[in-house]
Amino acid sequence: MDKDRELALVRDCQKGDRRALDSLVRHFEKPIYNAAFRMLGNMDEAADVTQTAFMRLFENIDRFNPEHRLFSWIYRIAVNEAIDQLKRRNKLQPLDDPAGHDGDVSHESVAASQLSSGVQAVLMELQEDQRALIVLHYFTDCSYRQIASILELPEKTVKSRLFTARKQLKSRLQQHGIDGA
Amino acid sequence: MNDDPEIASILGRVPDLEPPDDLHERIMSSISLRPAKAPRPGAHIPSPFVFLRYGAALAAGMLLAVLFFENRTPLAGPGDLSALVGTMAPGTGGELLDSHTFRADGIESRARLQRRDGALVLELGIDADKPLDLSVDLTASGARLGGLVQGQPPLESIEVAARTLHLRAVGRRHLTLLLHRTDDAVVDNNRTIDLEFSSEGKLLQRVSLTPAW
Repeated sequence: MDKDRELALVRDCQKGDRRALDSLVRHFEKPIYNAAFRMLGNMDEAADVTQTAFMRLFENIDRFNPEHRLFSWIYRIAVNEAIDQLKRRNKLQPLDDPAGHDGDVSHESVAASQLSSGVQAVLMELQEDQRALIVLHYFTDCSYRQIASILELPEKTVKSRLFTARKQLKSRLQQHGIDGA
Repeated sequence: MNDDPEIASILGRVPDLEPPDDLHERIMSSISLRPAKAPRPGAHIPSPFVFLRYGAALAAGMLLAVLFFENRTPLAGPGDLSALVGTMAPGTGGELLDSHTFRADGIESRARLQRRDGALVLELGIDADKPLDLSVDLTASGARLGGLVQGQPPLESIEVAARTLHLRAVGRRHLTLLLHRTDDAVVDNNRTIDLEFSSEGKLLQRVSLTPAW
């Protein structure tokens, strides 16, 4: 969604247009849900965080600054909500099976599911701030500049921290036997 | 600083997850777009909704349960719950400071925060086809609970802690909370009373009311 379209929908939402709201929610709900899931490793919590992020966004939609992008704002809310949720969480809670499918699946989807579970386990071993960087960079395709805006960090800091996070991630992926082959 | 191709390759093969089927509806039903800001003090017109919907039940059964939380220092003067009893009919009197309406499948709730006689009064009206769990968190409000009054029939349960209150309601219910400013509360427009609505273990909505101390 380009910036002009996004801004037009925001303005319609500010006037109370629920069709515009529907369009914005449809556009962002899946990426926000996926980012929240990669932060949390739990589908129910990811859904709650996604819902809360949208609620907080639209409670304050009148304050939206058209100089900024909406997605930066909602990702920022979602990441912060996810981190808050992690703090609240019982640490003994088991992770979901990210696939959540029945048994009748193809070899490809089984492999993808196993990869998803393995990667998720590795992500959960990272520190929260490192995980947020990895999730935003690899699972939302945000640029360094956009991540800097979302996390309210200098772009240079994002790059250096992402470098460290990537090293941690690679090491742990290797420990779990997950490689690029 | 460049991407490690091996990591990019691994993470690039991780499939996107589909959100739950009901997530879109959950989100849409939890958002009420407000074209204009809620009315501020002095601009309040009592909502006919409250009169029509809860007035009769309250007229018959109001004030059957009055609980006080200040045994050592009885309430007196401004904010005295007993003095406010006569004005506790929902939607009556006071300056409206903030309000919120929440609607989801089979659940409707209205929260109205008012200033009356120097105290804060939070009215909660609920009309729920299924059990609604509502938590009221005063931690960031600069206020503490001074007392509560519930209409008839009573709520299913109420649990009160130092700065939080958890209640469960089903059907048409009404509750009025009397809140006192804490001694350490400073003038701060960022103070919030945080409400969380959930049902059947699912979070439906979080909302913050602003007392505007």
